[in-house]
Amino acid sequence: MEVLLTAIKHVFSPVSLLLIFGGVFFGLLLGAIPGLTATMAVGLIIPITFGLRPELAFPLLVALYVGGISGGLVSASLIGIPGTPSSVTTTFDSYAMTKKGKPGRALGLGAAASLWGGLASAVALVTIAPPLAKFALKFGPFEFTSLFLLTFACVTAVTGESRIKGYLALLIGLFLSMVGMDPINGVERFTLGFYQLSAGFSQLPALIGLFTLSEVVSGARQGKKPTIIAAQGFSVVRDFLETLFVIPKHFFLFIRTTILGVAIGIFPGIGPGLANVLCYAQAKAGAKEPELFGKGSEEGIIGAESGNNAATGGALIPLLTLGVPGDTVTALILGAFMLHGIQPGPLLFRANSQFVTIIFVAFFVANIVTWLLQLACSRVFIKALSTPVYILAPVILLFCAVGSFALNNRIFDIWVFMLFGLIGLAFSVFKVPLLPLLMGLILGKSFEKEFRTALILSKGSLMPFFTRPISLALIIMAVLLVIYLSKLSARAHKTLAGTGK
Amino acid sequence: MQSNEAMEAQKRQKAVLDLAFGLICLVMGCIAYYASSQIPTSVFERVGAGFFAKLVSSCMAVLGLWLTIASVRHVDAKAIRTISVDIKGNLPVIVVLVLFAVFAATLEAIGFRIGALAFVALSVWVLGGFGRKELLQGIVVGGIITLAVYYGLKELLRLMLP
Repeated sequence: MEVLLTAIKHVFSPVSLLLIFGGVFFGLLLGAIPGLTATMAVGLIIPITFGLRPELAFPLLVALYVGGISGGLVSASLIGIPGTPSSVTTTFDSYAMTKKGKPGRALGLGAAASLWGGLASAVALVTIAPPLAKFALKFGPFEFTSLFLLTFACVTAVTGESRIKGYLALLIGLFLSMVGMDPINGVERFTLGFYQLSAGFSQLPALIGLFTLSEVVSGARQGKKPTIIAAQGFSVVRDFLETLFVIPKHFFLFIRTTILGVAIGIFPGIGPGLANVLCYAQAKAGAKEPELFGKGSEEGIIGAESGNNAATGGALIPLLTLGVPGDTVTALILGAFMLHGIQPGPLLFRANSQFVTIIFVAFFVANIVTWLLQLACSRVFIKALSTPVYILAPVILLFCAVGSFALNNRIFDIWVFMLFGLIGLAFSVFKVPLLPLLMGLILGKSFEKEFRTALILSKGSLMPFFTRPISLALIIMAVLLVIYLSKLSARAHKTLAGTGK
Repeated sequence: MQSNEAMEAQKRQKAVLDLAFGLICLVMGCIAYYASSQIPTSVFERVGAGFFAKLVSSCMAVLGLWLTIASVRHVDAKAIRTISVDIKGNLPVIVVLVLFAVFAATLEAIGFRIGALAFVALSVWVLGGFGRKELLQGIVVGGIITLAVYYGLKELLRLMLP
């Protein structure tokens, strides 16, 4: 109780609240602009958090995450383009509702669904994370290896048409993670004579490059095309307040999509993007009038937005308890943990429960602040939508350069950013999914260390992976999940095709 | 809804891209395997520094070969013709990426403030269509952002830029 009270006192201190408000605002702003994402928002700010204490830095990052995921709603509703990948299906019904003359209701419903979905996932985070962390203390190298295999299986199961390209992306990521010193013997590998690579590629510039450069380039290709906003003059306050308590009328829908969203978030490597699609598909499948979906259905907006925000809390669970990211943004947050010298995982709960509680409280507060700022600043985000991309793109590239340099004070990291940016661009040309590469890059060193340690302990035998019960259970889960997620993903794509998108 | 012809063209394009990617991965896998075999390993180690590297690179080579074989069946002269590179249309973006590389290369020599202002101003001008208004916009935006970032990082976070 004392830990909780101290955490609340810390989060509600002026500096911390200011950072949370600022983080949510920046996340909403970047999430609202198509082509800019929550991943980018977090990636741009992480180098700046280097100068902050972890108790201030991580509430800021969590606020950015929540704001960034929720921000896509604005452009989805007003211009029919999802601001972030986690708002793709939100577009179908919220834009249709806007075109029927109810933009405020579309925004309000989405914001309310996001709020309640986020708060529900905060409850899930607080109730599931501590017992899971205790359970994870029983994990040894065999169990961690199997857990990483489960993560890789999940990530590659939802890569769409070509599973082989997903596996290749993962292998490329694993290979790139091996640059530098080997984690067990300290032998230098693949550095090509560059001393700067003896510790491997700096993760943050690599991650920012992978996800930012290709998005900035595709946005910059638009040139001077104007953004047409469907509606601007509407009463935000009235619509937001009216829709805040609409959710109880769709209680069972909300429960279904929230539970699904949290579960999807928990599985490593998936996240709010797929949660948005699957929860929308689930909402449509369970609706009394599914033919209304795609034409301004309230249930469509509620299902999509509650699902994607529920996944945010879910994604924090494996990050904090196992040190495995739930999605791309939490992968970057994992990088931030390493930057601050903190190892997330089961020992974090034991050694630093105060810090973990601060993150829980900050997550609750960030969800409420997101709704408040969406209410107060909708007009600002609408204005932001009108900012020409030809101005935004160079500014974002500059921020990326500064962020990459500021980490270790070396120009070499800007080149790392460029290299991985070009890799990301090449992947988008060849239509190869980026997420498996990201997971391989971030988890590769840990995976190699646990796998080799396990083989050293078992004298080269693979049997202990199948005779130890937790390891066997994880491997079976990996196989079952690959089958289940592939079918679920295929069904979701069918639903999207049926909506004509 | 796409016409059958458009869908066929897309399939052919996908086959060519898959073939290219498969070949790249096959070659990369082979080179990586060779490089991994050069990593020094002690006689007593079963699972040395090169073990994981060899495992990953051999998997990459095998899957690259698989993808190559799977896609080569769908590739013909018609398929190769579907691939086109629009250099003229992408020229502004290419120029901006080159400007970014120049900015990074000259950062220490000319300093952050001049480099950043020049990069943002020129990039906005190039992406905006080389108009006079866009050049002025670039200079104003570049100036504001450069000064805000430089002094913000220096004063607030004690992070020094060149």
